[in-house]
Amino acid sequence: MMASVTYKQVSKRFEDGTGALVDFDLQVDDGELMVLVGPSGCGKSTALRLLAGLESVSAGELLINDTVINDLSPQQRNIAMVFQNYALYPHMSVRRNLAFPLRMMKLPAEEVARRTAWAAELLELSDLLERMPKQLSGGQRQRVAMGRAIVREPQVFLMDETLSNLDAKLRIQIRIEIAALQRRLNITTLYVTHDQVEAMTLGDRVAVMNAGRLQQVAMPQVLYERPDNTFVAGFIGSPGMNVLASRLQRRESGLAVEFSGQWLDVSLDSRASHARLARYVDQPVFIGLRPEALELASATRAQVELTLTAVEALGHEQLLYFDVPLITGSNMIVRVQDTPAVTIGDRIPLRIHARELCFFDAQGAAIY
Amino acid sequence: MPQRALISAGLLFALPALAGLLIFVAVPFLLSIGLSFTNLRLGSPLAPEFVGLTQFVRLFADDAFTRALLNNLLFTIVVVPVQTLLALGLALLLNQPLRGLALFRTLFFMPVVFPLALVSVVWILIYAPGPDGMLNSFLHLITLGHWVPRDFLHDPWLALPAIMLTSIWQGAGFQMVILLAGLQSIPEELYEAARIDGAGRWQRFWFITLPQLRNTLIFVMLVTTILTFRLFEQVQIMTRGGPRHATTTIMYEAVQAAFSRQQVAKGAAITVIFFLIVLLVTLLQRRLARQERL
Amino acid sequence: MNGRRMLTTGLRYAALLLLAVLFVSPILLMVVGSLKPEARVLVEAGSLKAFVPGEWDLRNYRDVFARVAFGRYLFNSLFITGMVVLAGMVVNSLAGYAFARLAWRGRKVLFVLVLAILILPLEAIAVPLFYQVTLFGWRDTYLVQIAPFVANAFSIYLFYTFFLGLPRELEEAARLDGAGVLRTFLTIIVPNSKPVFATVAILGFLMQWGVFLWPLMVTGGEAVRPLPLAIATFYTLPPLQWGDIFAFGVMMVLPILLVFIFFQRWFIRGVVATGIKG
Repeated sequence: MMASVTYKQVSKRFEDGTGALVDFDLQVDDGELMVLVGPSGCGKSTALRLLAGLESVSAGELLINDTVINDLSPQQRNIAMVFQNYALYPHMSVRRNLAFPLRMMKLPAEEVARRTAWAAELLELSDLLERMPKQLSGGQRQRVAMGRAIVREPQVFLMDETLSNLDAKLRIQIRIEIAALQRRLNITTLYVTHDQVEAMTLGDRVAVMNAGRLQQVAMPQVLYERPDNTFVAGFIGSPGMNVLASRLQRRESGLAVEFSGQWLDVSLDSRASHARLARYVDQPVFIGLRPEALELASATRAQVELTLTAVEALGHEQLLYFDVPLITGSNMIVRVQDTPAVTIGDRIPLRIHARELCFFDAQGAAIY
Repeated sequence: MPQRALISAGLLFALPALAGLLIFVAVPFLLSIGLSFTNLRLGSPLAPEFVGLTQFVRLFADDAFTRALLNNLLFTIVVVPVQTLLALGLALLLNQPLRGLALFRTLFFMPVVFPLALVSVVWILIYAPGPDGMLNSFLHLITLGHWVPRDFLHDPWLALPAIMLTSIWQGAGFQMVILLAGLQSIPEELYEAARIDGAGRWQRFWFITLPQLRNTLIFVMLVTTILTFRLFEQVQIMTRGGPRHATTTIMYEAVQAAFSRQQVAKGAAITVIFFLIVLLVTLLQRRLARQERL
Repeated sequence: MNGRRMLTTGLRYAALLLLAVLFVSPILLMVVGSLKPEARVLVEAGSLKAFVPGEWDLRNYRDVFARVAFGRYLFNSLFITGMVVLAGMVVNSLAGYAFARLAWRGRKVLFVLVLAILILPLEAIAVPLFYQVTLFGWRDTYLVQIAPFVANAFSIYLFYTFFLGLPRELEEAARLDGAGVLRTFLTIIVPNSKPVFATVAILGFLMQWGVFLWPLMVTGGEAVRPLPLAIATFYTLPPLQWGDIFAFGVMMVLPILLVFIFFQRWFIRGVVATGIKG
């Protein structure tokens, strides 16, 4: 069953005028697991619900394969959805929950039984078929919700923050199962989450959203290494990229960029081409450095000296916070692998991996 | 705070209410059982004596009383389903974000606020005989002239239905409000999941709404059932139990016995039967509702 | 898609409108009829004119006061209902708190008994209670119409559930501060329990205002007669003037209607609370 999903300039305005989704363009390929990620209110759930048919589109077109589905009711779209709170029918047993969509499709009884058994087996629910939802644990309910979705063999699979209600360990475990299941069934899937770690580990491709707009859609590694703007840069990664205000200057030796009061040379093999960067000389820009793009250095090799404001020891690594304000308002973070003996208030010498410096223009767009 | 003081505090706090319930509920209740085994008449020169089950035996031989039992049964069998369906219909209509919803809800609930005595009096005029009677002319209108005016309250066949209609009018709003709250507590997500699963409007009602509403429905029907067995005001004011016992009820007979005819023991016996009926219905509801508290 | 939705909404409104008209017409009949001269009331009752007032005539209202001691009946209802509700709030809240938060011997058993009384309607004990108050010599007094209704199992239950839901920290903090049980109740619990007091008061008002069976049995003369009984006897008082009766009805229902309209939210909440109990 081939099923690609296309959003063409889709917008959604609610009755009180708020724009939940603005000019959203996205293409999901057949069999792909596309993750929609972003902070609360970014529009990811709205995009999902529009595809499900639970809300109507204000502008633009939704397509499955090449058919425009804007006017189809949810029942007609052959889409299955797993809700955040699972929405299991509380008065029906697991078996009847699984069978419900099949009964709505008016399938013959043996077919209903066959598919129910198949889904139950796939999700290891065979022992729980006669139980009621309130007798199940969170993880079991999640699997029943997924079972109810896959029995229909839908064209598209939608998942709306379904792991948010589970504890951390369970979340990781089920995440792996979901990925395996999706690969096995090869159903086109849209998966919504606010957790960027989940997005990065799960998605074939990831669509980062903010304030109703798509920021960037790409494979996880690309998002990490070549963010399109400051939002994506700061959002992806734990912790995200350090983004701060800066300026560019032309010198005899080449271009120099300001960092915490010092001027550092822009290296020749930097991410952004010098030709392009030259256009931004003497203008405000933003620069970005991943937490691992700085390292502790001896006094002689250091390029800057920063004041330490906080330390987080995580066992295998430490996060050091420095007195350099980022555009988000918080302090700069540097990740170090060993455990140096440092105290808060120390001036620490650091060296920057110049090649990993990212540049952004005054509007936040990346310069490459 | 010493433990002993705490214990007395609890008892002291509860004492006035417990005393009140004891004197004005528990004692009369026991008294009614006791009295029903005697032949007490107020104002009678003879001392009351123990007569065993005679009162009860006589009751079941009494035309008026057996008619009362039948009337109550008929009344309940008709009013409870009809009123509940009406209330459910109203609640379903109102279970949408509508403009003016609050106004409609107020209008439907208003009759509940009206004292039954007042309701009874007003409906006497509505049931007035002759073509000028309000209900008569209304029926005349909607049957396009085929309706012959009736004297509802004096007609042996129409009197009880007339009282039924009045009661339904007065009571539907009460049930509606409870059912509406029950409807609104059903999570929207269940309906969304059902829509995605392919369920149409009727199927959503049958598979989601009704099962989720089950306990509320049962409760609402129980309360209404008990209320219907208490039927009194309308009978006392509109028909006096007539014509010829066509609208007499258990409570009407009880009051007639104890109050008009001073036959307190007989009245007590009727009261005991009434209590047993209420107990039975309540236990039935508990049994039905116990299956699956969701 | 939108067209179909507009149609169903339209039908919905139409149905609601029709039903609303049916429900309101008896009330309208009463209100409008109270403002008409007697001759027109009866004649127009059968037509749509029953709902059209014409000139607004208050003579029926004056008539009521001339024919019977309406003021007296009104006072009686207000007094009796007020006393029952006020005394009830005190007595039942104390008991509800005792069951919810205090430890005392017999608490569990007595609570079960209180719950058992919940299903007992007044009618189940009216007759023997009638006998009892006759023995007490309480016939035809205010007391007989107030005392039996003060302690109320349903109110106790409402208070009980509400107090159970209050966070214990409030009382624990008060106890650490040295407050005794009564003081804790009065200064901490009560001010934080406005919703349940409002609900109990309003429901109590509603139930007590319309009581008919009991005053019928235990009162005789006009002195302590409350409004529901009064309108029934007024109806049997010759000459039969429907305009007057309607005026009586309007005045009689006005207090409770005003309470209802202003405190609608509490009303509905209280009624729903009876539903949740199930």
